[in-house]
Amino acid sequence: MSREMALRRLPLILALFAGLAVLAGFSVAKPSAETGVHESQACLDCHDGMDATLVGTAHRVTGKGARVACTDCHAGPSAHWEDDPEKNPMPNPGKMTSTAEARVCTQCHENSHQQNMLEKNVHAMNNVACSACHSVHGSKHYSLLRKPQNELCESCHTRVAGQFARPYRHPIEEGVIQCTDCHMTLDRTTRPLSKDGTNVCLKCHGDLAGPFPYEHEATLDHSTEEGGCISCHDPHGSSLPRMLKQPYQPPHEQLCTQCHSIPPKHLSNRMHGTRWNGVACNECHTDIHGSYDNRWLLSTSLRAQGCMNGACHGR
Amino acid sequence: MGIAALMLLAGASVAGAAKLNGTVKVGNIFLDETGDRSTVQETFDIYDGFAVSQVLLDGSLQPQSRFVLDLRDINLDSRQGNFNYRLPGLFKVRAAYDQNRYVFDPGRGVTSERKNWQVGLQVTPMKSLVLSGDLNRITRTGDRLSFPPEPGTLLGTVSSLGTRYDNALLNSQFGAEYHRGRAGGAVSVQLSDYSDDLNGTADRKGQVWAARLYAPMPFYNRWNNLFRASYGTRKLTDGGVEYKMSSFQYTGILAPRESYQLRYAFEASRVKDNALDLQTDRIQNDLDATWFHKYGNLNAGFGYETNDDDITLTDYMSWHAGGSFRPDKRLNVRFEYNGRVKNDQEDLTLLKDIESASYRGRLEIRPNDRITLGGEYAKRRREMPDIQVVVSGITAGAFARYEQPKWGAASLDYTHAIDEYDDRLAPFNVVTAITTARVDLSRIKNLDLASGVTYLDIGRDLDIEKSIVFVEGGYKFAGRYHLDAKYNVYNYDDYILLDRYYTANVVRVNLGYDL
Repeated sequence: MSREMALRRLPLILALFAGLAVLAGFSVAKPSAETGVHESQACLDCHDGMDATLVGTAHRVTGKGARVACTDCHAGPSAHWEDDPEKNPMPNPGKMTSTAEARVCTQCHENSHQQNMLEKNVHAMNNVACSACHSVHGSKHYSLLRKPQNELCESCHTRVAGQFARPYRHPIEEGVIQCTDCHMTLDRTTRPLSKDGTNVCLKCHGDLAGPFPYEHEATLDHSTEEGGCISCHDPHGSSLPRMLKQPYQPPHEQLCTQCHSIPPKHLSNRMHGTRWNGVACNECHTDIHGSYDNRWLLSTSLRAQGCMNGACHGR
Repeated sequence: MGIAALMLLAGASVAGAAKLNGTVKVGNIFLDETGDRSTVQETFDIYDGFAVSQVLLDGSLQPQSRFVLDLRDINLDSRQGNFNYRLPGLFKVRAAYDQNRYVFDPGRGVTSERKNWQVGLQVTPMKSLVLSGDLNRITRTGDRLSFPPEPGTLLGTVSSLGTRYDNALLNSQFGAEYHRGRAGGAVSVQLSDYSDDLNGTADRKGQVWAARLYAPMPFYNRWNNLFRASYGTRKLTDGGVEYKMSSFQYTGILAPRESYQLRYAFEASRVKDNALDLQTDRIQNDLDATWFHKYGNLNAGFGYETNDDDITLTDYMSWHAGGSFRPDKRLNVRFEYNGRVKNDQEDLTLLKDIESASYRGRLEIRPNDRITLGGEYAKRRREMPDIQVVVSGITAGAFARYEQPKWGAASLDYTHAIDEYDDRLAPFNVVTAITTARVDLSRIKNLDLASGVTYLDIGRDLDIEKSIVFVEGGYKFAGRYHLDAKYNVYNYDDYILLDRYYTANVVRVNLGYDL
């Protein structure tokens, strides 16, 4: 089989493998403790009132439609209620390691968020368990968070909180966006289409999304030029307008010169002399996110001035 | 319109509510400012005058359901609203609206406004099946400064973005997820539609179809497998210019014992960009291992990536190592190292080879339950030797927190950052010092007091100072009433870059009533 043919069949082989894996997975999947609902009343006989903190949430253990039992999370020996509770204590997930606790939660919550935690396990690795952010008993915040989301994230990520104090930043403090609008998006299935996270930016910045007939490769996260929005912008906060990482105006033109050297003819040539020396690049190259008109990303208004009539600045 | 729709929802909810709590707050905002209005983002959405500051309703239509409606600044152009209704475990609906403005010029004459509508629905017809749908529409209208900014232009050039906004972006997503135990799968489709009334050539549509499967096998709880595949397009409505994107991912997590975890991730993606006439194939392999111990963990990993776009061929090697030490809840130490090298095999990319590395450490000590002390140090360096560019930075920070039950809390944070950049043209260096302090007092019955300051000093090639000071208090009286007042001072001085300054005094007073 030629290499090309083998490559062409690769997706089919991988898909078959995936299908088999899931079928096998279903066959070994243990059902969650759906049969345990009836046991909750026995728990409440001693732990009176503990169900009150679960009312109005999916974790309620009593009432019509209850799908969860105390023992789904506090899964211990039946001797706890049948014999001696002191000698047979029930486990408290909040006091387990992060991975052990996640195993309890994923009995039901095996969704993409859990998969993110499993896959990019920065939180789990640092023993930040599910219960570090979510409070099963008694939270009144959305998704049972312990605090409002941004406040919760910043309580550990103190360095990032400092970055949001800079003059130009995303409006986190105003409540217009939240940390999870960019980070830990709940459905990661679409993020693989973005190498550097640029797709995340385009959720709001649709005017810069492309495709453009004439692209600036630095803005493309599929570019081999280390592309993506964060080549030029610092999304957490910057001291420069438009959250730029470097200034683009003379005498500091590093935003452009981090990749481009200035062609000598831009500084001095026989047609214009030294007129453009010290002039910001974007005086002419205005369409830096991509152009609908020309490959040099030049302003279309230069056409009216005749700049593109000759061979120098034509397409 | 967004808020009106939310208020209608509120009316319907309140009419049928079996149980209802909440708060209503009305008050006034006093704004006194001088200087360049475009300098301090915190004041972009502050409007002088009477304000219906908050209507918060929290109740249920039947014993097992719950709704929360939170409307803020209803009569102002900074209005926001959120509505959630859920039958836990069965049904969830969410609607949200907010609008905000961006100020471009010193006199606040050139502004644009963003409006954001969101609706989401999730239905769980059975415990193992979740159906969901979300719609999000963002519009931006108004004016912007020309780019490049006036009056600096020599040629009167303007970018194709022009000097006005009038565009709308509609994103939607629909999905279904099924799981049994820890095995399952999901499919989703994401659609986007962008339209620009000022530049029809920018109109575009996009779609992404995706599927994911996950399964524990062959050893339940010991080996998890995740598969993802997606395909999408994004194209200009009239131009025929488009991206076609596809990807496949596999992640395997093997945990032979509770204390060991091995992770392998594979990703293959392809983007066909017919504007560049390039097809970029990317293949990435990552392997890492973690050892967990009751006193912390150690981890290390290695990655290899290739990018082939028909013209250039680059590969990357990356590695990382780190760990943590937590002998008890009094001490938490973390450290990590990351390195990455790009190799441009054919020397055809602009940046050529790249080498980067970063180190980070964090220490947190809790000598007792009331005091937390800590510090963080991070260093990074990114070098492109062929084009003689070096970017480096150091960040060092310290923090202290103190909590006194029934009295309140105090915190102090300090961050010092040095960012250095050097290329063939010139260096550009910035030093930033950020200090944040806050004190909360709740000693006196029915009275909560708080005060804080944030101070930034940005130096070397920039010279900017910015400070935000606030004092606030809330007093509860006559059972259900409360009076809140907050005083803010904003200061901004830019001595070099744009030579501008700004000072604002803002007082916000609200009278609240608990339903």
